[in-house]
Amino acid sequence: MKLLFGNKKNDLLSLLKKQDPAAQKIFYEQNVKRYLSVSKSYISDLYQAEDCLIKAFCKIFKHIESFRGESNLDSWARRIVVNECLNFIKSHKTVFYLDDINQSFYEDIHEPEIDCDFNAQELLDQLPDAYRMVFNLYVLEGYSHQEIADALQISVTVSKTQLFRAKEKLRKIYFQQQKKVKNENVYR
Amino acid sequence: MKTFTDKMECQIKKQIEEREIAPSRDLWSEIELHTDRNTRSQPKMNWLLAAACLMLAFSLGGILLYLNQPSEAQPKMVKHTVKKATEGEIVKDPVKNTVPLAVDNNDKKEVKKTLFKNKEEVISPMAVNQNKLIPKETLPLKKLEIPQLSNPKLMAKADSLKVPVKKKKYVDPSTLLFSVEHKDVIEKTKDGSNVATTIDLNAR
Repeated sequence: MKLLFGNKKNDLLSLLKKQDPAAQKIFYEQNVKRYLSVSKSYISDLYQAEDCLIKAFCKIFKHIESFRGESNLDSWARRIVVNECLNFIKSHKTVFYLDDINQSFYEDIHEPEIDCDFNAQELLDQLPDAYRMVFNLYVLEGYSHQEIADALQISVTVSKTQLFRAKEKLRKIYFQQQKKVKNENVYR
Repeated sequence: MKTFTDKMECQIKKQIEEREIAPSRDLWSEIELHTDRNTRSQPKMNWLLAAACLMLAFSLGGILLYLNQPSEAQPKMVKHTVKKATEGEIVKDPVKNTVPLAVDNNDKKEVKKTLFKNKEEVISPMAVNQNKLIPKETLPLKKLEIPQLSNPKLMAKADSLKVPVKKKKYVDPSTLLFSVEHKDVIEKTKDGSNVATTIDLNAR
């Protein structure tokens, strides 16, 4: 019963290592929504994101004994979720990493104030897979370019280029959305 | 000063971190199914592995046992040497000696007897992979009862088997020289005269 109050993380961990089903259920309920959010930021389709999450939870429960406690359990489990999403994208989709950078596109855009009401998931969903993976790993997970290069088996230069292009694409999508909203308001 | 992209990055990060998405279906039942399958399949696999190992060990043991057993299909070659007869002993009934000395639970075994220089060998066909002759020294040798000499012809036959060693025709050089020098004297003796002639070898 003490596990239900949530503060006994060490007890939960020891029970998870014993493959206790009750502890596994508690861990699942505590984290499923957040991890699904993480999974959804990589995979736009909800059903596929859930499939990845199932696999990730199975891996977490199976390999929990290898967790030494050097880092936080949450970050360890989150990393497994992210890796599972990356594996899914690699295996199910052909990812193209384009290197050409259109500099003029960046220079033409002025710097307005950002409106906080935009939907981040909508922006991410419109990004190509390669851009989204690099952007998420760098911005959301805090990976370095070297770590991204190792995870995606690309060079550091490609990682930097993809991040730059992802940001540009996001700006463009954002302004397109803002323009659309303004036009809708004008017509009303 | 933060640029537009930096602000947008922060905003995206904030939204994703704070967001929680409820699953559209019952994920737990599927996870439970997967974990149960994994945990149950492990001991089952161990049992199967152990059973397979046992089966393999028994079958190998059976094969080895079968191979080691003497059978009709794989007869052995048995070489037996009878105690060498001393010169004083006389084999009076050689027919009795032809009785197979090595009886290896196999009556159909071909017994071949060769008598050569007082050695008797009982040879039977042997398996192809067994190249060496197995001497059956452990068999108890029956002391041959030697009856009275009843068939002397057989003895003669047995003696005739002895192959006389041919002596090389070799003429001593001194003899040859002697025969050349005293040719006339030798011819005289060949003519038929029984008179003994004395040859003085020192007369020269």
